[in-house]
Amino acid sequence: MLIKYVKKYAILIVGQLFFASLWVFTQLMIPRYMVDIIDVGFMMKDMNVIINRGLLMLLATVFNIVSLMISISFLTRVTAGISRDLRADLFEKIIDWSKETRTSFSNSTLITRTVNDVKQVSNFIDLSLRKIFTLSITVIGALAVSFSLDVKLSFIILIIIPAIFLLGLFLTTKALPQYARIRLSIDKINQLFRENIRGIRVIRAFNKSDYEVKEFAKATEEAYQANVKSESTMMLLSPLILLLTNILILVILLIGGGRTQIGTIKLGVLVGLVEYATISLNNIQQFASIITIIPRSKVSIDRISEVLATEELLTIKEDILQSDEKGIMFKNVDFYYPGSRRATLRNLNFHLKIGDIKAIIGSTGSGKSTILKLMLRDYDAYQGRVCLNGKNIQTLSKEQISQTITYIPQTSFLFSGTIRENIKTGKKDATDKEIWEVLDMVQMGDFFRESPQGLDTHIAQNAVNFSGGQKQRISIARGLIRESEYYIFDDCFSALDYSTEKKIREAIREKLANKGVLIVAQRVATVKDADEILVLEKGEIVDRGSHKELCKKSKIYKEILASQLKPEEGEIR
Amino acid sequence: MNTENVNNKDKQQEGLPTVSRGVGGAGRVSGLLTSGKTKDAKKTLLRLFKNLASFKWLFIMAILLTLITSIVQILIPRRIGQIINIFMELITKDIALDWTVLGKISIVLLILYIFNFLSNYISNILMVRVSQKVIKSLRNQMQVKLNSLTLNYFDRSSAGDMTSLLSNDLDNVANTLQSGLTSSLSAIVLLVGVVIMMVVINPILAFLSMIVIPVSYFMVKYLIKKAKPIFQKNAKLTGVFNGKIEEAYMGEDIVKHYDIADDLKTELASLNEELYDSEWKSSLVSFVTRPAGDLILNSNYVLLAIWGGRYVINGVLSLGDFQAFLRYTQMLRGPFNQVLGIFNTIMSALASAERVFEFLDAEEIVELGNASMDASAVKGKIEFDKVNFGYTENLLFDGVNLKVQPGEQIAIVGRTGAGKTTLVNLLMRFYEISAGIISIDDKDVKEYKTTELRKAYSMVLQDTWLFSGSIRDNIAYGADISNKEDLSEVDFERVEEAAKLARADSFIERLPQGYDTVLAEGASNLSQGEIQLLTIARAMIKKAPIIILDEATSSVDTRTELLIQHGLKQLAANSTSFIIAHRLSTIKDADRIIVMDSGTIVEVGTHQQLLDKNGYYAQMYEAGQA
Repeated sequence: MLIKYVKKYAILIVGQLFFASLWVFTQLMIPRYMVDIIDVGFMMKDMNVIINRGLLMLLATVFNIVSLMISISFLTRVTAGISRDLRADLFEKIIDWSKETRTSFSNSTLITRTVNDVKQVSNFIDLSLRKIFTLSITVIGALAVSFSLDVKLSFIILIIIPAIFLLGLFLTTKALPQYARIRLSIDKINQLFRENIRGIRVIRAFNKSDYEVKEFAKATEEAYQANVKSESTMMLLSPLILLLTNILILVILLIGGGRTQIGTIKLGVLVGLVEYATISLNNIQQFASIITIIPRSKVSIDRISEVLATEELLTIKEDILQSDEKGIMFKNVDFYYPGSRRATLRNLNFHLKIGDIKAIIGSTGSGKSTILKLMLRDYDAYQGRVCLNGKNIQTLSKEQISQTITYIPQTSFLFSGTIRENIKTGKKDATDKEIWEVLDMVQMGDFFRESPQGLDTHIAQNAVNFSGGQKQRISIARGLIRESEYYIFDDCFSALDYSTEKKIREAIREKLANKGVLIVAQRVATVKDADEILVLEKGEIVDRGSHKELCKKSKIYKEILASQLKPEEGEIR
Repeated sequence: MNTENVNNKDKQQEGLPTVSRGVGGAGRVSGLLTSGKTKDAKKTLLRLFKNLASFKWLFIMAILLTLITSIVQILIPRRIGQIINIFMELITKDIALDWTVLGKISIVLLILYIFNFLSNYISNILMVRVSQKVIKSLRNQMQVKLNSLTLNYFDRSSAGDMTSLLSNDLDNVANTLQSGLTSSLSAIVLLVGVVIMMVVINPILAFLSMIVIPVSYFMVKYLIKKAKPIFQKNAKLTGVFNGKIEEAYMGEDIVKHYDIADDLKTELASLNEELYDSEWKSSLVSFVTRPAGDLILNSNYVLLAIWGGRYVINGVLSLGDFQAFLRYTQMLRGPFNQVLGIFNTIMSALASAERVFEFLDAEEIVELGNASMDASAVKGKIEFDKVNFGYTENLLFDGVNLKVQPGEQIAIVGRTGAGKTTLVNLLMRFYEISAGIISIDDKDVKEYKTTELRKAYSMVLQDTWLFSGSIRDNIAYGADISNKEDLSEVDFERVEEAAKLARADSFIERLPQGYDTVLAEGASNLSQGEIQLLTIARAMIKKAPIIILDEATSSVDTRTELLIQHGLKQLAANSTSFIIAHRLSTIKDADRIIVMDSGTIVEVGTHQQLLDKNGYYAQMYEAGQA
């Protein structure tokens, strides 16, 4: 999956790898010049060679750091670029998904995938290009130089390298599961603490302080154990490698030293070999630690691929059964939520025409909101037909539907930004006059007129600076400013007190006189003026008719009514 | 900083992941970037050491071993130099190799190596144990503290700040303790030791190698200062982008059905482009500052090689010493960078520790009485006698009187801020009253231990809270269990019965995992109405003689609510109950309605009596009508 994204940056990557190689090469040349300084300069007392090689070393140093900077400047563009491309592909895709396609992903996992997983993948690319590549060619290069200096002693280095590699691999793999354990236990500790703060009253009311302390101590003990265990392993790694490196150096010196006497090896070469041995061992250890991290990135890569591989399930279909009948029509609709075995809607039939005001009432979980979702084509997986102005909605595009139907959702989601910007979400070119008009309709006009910033009043993220009722009213205003044939209200008066709700309903009735209106609610008072009320129970329309008719014939409607006393009696606030 | 906390807090409440808004890649130079302010560093340090006291010997051992490790490390290059010198003599003077001398040095070296390995490893392990023990103990202390703080403290502080104490500040202290302390100690020893060795070998070279270090340091510091705005810009852009993504996903209904997907994508794309730009720049900067400083150090190294080479040729310096000197120069670099960072690291850890200690010193609940309570014997007569109370210095309750007979059903109504929840808070003794007496069955509640007093109440709070765990455990949470017991030991029949009475059984059974369904943090996988049903079930399992319902059914539809009320009556026909609600249907049948306004009880009576009286209640009633 990644290959496609990497390809785009092929030239930069080649450049990066080239300069990284140059970096390694210059790095390895410096000890090589030192060999000459010792063997020619010191031994022959030739100051010219010392200065000459010294200057070469200086040159190598400068080249070394310059090539490092160049390779990194290429690299950062690659990693940031791939992150950008992945993010763009993810959000472009996710935003267009219908609810049906989205079912298997929660909002929080989608956010994590777009933000954290992309970051993880970019770290992975960074590690592969920067570390893995340079570490491995450094080891190979150091070995090559060693062999060119002295074959016999280099064999000792060659033998010990795999041993160090395996040792590093072994210890890191052993510690890794402990790291996962640490992460989990820390998450648990933070979560328990957070919950303890949030639930402090409940915890005290139920006398559960001791219980919470006990549970928390379990979590901290777990974190302690995991930490000690993983660190005992990991802390062994670097001292152990250092020990082995030191012993290797001693061995090289002793074996080599014996040979200096008979003249088969020069002292400078010996010093050089020690240097190269140190470099190889150091790098191979890092290499072993890093490649164990890589499997962790695979999880992120898989999670991103899963999103990118999920294709939109809802396509625009061909329809043969077109008619000219206006309105929104449900014909024999049965609906099961994806993965659920219980029918959410059963044998649903109704017809909403221009000029109609219809309402749906029913208790929590009766399927009221689901009807609206089918109307908006959030899901296709139902039996029966849903038609908009004579056309099966499965033949219409998202734009065609949203331009005909205005939906005012149950959860009043507002964007961070000004109130003006939020209302303009409904109508891009709305004038301030129009905005005030709808704000007045939802009884929020005076509120914003009194606010010092007026229409520029800021709405924070999640609209935390507004109450539930205020949010609902702004959300309704945002819907009312839209121009469409039908308006559907999804239980969006629930947080309003009765008198405010009544005023808003009157304003809606006036403004939407020649439109089709559908109101979903729990309160009788909200629906009683509708031309027709559908009573929904467990996904089925059990009764339908006007308020008066239902009061006479509908058992469930009467029960709802009784639970809310007389419709005139509201709340004490 | 502040707004970020607020945002995170909200997300936690909704069970959303907190999107990290950290500085991308800046961690590589963080030692020089972090800073902290401490009010009294010395006091904090002392107190931190007090926490170490119980592991004193472990700690001292670790420190000693660290010192030994560093000293051994300093001795090694010089020995290697000796070996090289022997070889040098071999070649130049053409004498036979004396294996005994070489052997001796080798054995000394081998011993030093092994010593170095052992002391290094053991000191590391000891330090891990010490720091982890300290952290564990501090964590537990914080949580015990949390459960003994007064509620006033919670009213004043933000949850995000408190959590940050545990997750950020304590972590900061732990890391500094674990690696920072020993590594800075060894850095200092190494630094001093190496400098001594260098001076011993050749003072002039030693001087030359040291003057460039400050130059390089100031260069790195300058570069980091230049880089800071780039990091900050990147952090800010990351935050903005992540926030936008979050909104785009959470507002899917509006995005789709209001036809703004294309506009949103364009906006996100341009933000994404900006982010790309700042991301590569900031990570480039974070990579490049160090090597840029290194350039100076490396060049200096080369100059030393040439300069020192001259000494070798002139015979002032032996080859072995030359070799050792160069090794020392390299050894100097790591600790030097570290020592520079140490001050900041330690100061920031101390500032964190100070914040933690401040929390540990916050005001605690004072237990006045120690009488125990037999909940089954409580009749439920409750009296408020001239009760004064205020959350701040301003009194909200000024001489409140109230008498409730055993078994009476009391409804409390009033506008927001009238003091309804306060009344409940005082009944539960969440806060201490400043004057007057609250009594149950004619006994002052202050005579009871608070935990004993609370045995008398089953309550459902306005603030619905469930913990992340199974539905079954969440309901069982209400049952009285002894400390040793686990929630799973509560009989499943009791859980089921409570769920039935609360009318929660039907939705629970419809869930694929039923009672074993695990709730996400903040119960984000349930609707508000369902959450309320669970909190009612949790209260019902307790079966206490006094029931308090604070807006317990506000999100439950009216028909279900009626059924729950039947359940409640079934459960505790004779119990005294307090119900706070807005819905007329919920309060109308109460034995008495208490009408509150700005901390005073303005009217008391039945629904009809209050209407006939034509006072405050009647006014509210009129206003609430459609």
